[in-house]
Amino acid sequence: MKYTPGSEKKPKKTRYQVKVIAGKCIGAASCAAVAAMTFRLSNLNDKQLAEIIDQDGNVDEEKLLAAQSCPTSAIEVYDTKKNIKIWPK
Amino acid sequence: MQAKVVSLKQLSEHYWRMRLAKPVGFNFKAGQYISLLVHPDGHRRTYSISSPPSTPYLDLLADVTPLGLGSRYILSLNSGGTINFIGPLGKFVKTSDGLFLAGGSGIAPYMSMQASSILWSLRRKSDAFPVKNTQIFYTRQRLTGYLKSLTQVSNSHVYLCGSSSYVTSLTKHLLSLGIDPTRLHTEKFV
Repeated sequence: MKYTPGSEKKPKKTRYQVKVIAGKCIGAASCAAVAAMTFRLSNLNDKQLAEIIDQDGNVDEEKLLAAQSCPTSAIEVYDTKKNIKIWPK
Repeated sequence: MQAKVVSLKQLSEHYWRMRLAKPVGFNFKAGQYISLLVHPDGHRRTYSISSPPSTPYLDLLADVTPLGLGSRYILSLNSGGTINFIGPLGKFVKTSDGLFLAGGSGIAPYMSMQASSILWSLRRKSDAFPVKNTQIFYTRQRLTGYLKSLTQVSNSHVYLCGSSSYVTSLTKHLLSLGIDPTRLHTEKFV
């Protein structure tokens, strides 16, 4: 099942967990554009930075694409089943 | 989504235009960007679309100065090749006329918007190429001096697109000139 922003069908539980490295984030917002139900920009210390609103907001594929779209590699993706970091490689 | 490369053209010393055939069914708003797959391991880079939505192609503007992963990928492409991307992305679209400030390749969305009154900051004269309705500034001091001289600037919508440091420092400057923060529209990239 593919979840798209605005859809009623939200994935129940995703396998990938994401983490934003605030020190690397420049607020480019590509993550929020690709996975809008997982990431949003928020004001932190007078800067617009990415934050996670829902770990299960988007399907795993969209969360990985969002991380790969980040120009500063500020999003790490962990596979909770294998217990490994899969992005950045 | 995939698109065919139509051509690669050098516009100035470090600026290149990649022209893609617009895939059927692909629609975008002027000011949006795409995320291009630049390495088989999944690395992506974002490029703003510089052509207006009405044209049958997609132009991307690239500053290849850093010669990083994205630059090397673009320079390796040949016409007839295929690129893989996701998009359109972004919400940096023109809501009303105003002043359009660009740092480097941050001019791309304004080319797509066919904006008037573009103030373009460049590091080197050799990077310039002709863009309609554009004044070029090679130093920050000249740009900020010019902004100070504009009497109507505090009532205008101001669009800012460029590197993170460019957008951050000019945002501070514009707010100090009395710009209404709700009329300030920004887009940052690396």
